[in-house]
Amino acid sequence: MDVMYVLIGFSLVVALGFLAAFFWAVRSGQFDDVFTPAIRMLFEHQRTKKKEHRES
Amino acid sequence: MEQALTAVSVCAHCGDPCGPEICDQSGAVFCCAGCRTVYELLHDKDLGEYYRLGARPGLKPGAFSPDSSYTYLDDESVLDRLLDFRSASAARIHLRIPQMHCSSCVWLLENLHAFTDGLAETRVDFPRRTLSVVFDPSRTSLRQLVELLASLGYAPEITLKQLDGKRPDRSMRALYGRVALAGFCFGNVMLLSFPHYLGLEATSDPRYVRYFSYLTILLSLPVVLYSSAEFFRSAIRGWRYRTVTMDVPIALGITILFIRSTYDILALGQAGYMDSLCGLVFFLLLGRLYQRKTYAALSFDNDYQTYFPIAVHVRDGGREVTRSLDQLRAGDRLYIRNGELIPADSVLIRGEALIDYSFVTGESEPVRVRAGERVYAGGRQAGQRLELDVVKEPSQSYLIQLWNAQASPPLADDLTSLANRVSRWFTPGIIGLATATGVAWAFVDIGTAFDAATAVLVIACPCALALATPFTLGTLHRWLGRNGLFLKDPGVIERLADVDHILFDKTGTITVAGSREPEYVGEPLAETERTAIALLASHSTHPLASPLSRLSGDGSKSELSGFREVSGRGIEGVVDGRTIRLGSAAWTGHADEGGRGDLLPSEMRVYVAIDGRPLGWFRYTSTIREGLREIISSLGERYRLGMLSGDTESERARLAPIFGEGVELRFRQSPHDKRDYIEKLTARGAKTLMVGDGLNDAGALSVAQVGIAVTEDDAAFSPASDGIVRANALPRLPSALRLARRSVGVIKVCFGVSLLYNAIGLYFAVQGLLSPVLAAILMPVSSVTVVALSTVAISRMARREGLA
Repeated sequence: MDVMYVLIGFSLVVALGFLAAFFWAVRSGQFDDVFTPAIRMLFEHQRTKKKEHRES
Repeated sequence: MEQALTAVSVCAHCGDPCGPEICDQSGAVFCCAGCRTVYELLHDKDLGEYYRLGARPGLKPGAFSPDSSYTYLDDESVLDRLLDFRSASAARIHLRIPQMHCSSCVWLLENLHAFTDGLAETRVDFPRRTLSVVFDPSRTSLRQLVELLASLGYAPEITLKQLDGKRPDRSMRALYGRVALAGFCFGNVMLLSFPHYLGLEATSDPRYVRYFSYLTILLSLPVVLYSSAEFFRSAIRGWRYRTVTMDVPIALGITILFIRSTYDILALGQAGYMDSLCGLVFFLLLGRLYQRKTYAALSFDNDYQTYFPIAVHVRDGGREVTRSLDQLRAGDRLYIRNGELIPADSVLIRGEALIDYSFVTGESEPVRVRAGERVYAGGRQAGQRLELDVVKEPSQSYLIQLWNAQASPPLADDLTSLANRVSRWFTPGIIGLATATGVAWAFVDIGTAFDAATAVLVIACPCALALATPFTLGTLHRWLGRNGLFLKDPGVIERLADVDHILFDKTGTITVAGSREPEYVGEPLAETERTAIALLASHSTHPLASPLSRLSGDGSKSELSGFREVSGRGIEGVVDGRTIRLGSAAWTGHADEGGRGDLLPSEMRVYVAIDGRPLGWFRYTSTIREGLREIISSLGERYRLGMLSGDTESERARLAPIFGEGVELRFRQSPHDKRDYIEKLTARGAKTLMVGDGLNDAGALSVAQVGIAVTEDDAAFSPASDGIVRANALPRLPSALRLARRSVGVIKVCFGVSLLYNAIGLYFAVQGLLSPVLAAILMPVSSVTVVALSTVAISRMARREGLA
């Protein structure tokens, strides 16, 4: 049953990975504006797709 | 005389009704040449999609003269301070564009690269109304970019404040992080506490139980050290200023919880209260998050810096150079062109000055100034170029000192909050109770003494108490915002609740100038003459001209020639061989303001002359804002009312019956008089609410307990205030005040509920019987009850008041 120590530790590490992903998302500005992207995705990119949208 | 004002059709660009039609080849109709230019430009670039995305997206491009308006953007020192980032091949800038209002705007602004080369990336942040642009300085310049935006009707707001390098607020990111971490740890600690919840610690392997407990300590550490840092910081600050805010008992509770639990786990091998600790911090932070809803598109802290030009023209060694305003010093020689704002108190040296002080006083009549006389900051020159000698730096100017007047020190704010008043006796109360419990137990059993005393502090930690205010006020804040009443922060509601004296500004608040169609008085006009007048008026940007331009009967195909505009006097033009003049009495050859005798209160006139023969005039009367009678009579039942106006007494007769008996109507009030009057009322103990709109109210708005600015248009400039209300939402003011008062009642009920839960917990705690499981149940339950109670109660009340 000693595998419990490892398994619980491992599950925590996985969970921490998701937490880190969330922190990264916040820090890269994905939560700064949660409104405009919802409008932007409805636009048709006729001749405007020469630039790729990219989060700064 | 009848008003033949039938809107013939609507402009294809801005959607306004059009008078004399301007068409393009495809048959689209426009209200003015500016709109046509933008429309054609968009179609030329294949961006007609703009008109299909949103309803009425178009903006009338403002009048700006490309030769001078934005020249300061070529100035290297200004560029250095405006750009976020700059290298030889790329530069980045954030521009605030308050006019953007729909998805079409977003689309057009993000497709700007169709117009010019050298734009690498344009991105809109709609809630903040900002556009961030990355461009190549070798292919285009900031000035070209800004001029392009201005020509499309999206003139960016470039203010002095931006020069100070104000970075966008990132504190929201930190708060998200703190909440996420607390939530993560809360969930995991709860999972690891399951053996204790289910009473399995006796039957399962004690090594696992201990391992789980150690993990909970590890998981709680970041919650205490990172997530709750804000509470500790605020508690320490409060302690230093001898103000016991709600954060003091919270910080105390968190500390005791952590120390006690660590001791329990490490020394005694017991469960501890780590789950309660993490849950507490998580809920409290959720409350903060809820309270932090902001109206990022609105600016509540405007001061003169937002309104003034960023750079001015000064003489430097015989040459005219641009210099940013904050480097302007007394003694500088200043050049002011037609339509420019005077940025500092100065003495007129050369030029014919006709200064429009409506920005500061609300009086629309321009003032004539002679050489050698004083000109005050905030006036706008109408007419030829002036030379001025600066007497005082902008920040020292007479009127600016009024706007800069700070209402109250920020700490006084904290004391008015109900939660902080409660915590003034709550904190000593629980510390006293904990000490008493410890001392009492010391006589019975010294071991239990520590247990019981810390248990009291743990269970009394005012989590639910601290949640009542943010959720009650936060909910109401959202409701009001959705209905056009934007408050700076939820705390304003508490101050709004105990207002007892309401003061209104007149012009722009009670009355709406120029809202009515112009009415003609004088010798009858033929149909062709009306059309000619409309055509002439459509070429002017003067606010009184645009209602006239909709005057025409049919869209005749007359041509206008020889148009000229003399600022402060009037306009002239030739239509079908007849010379038409519109403007002041002197300009049109009427006897000097001859008919003053029959002048209605607050009437403005545009005189007409055709072929040099004075014919008559159009008059504009200001009207009382719709629904205002009802607002005032319903507010009068509960509040003392008053009115402060910069105008003359001429409207007293019209306004007195609306306000009723015994209401003080003060006329001829300078901006300083308004402020002083409110300060005098405050000194007498009145709690004032000032409702105003102009910068002449700025002083009054800032010293009143609550200052609310009325605005016709969210994008327009409004002076610093605690709240901004859309003009069409003004009728909801009585409802808002009623809800504010009731929300304080809701908070009190929530306090009662949470104190009840505390009492139950304390009953067990003083006996030394508080188990971790009981704490783990009681604390979240009390929090959830309070949150549900406050949000549901406020939403029900808001709906009953007819808010949507």
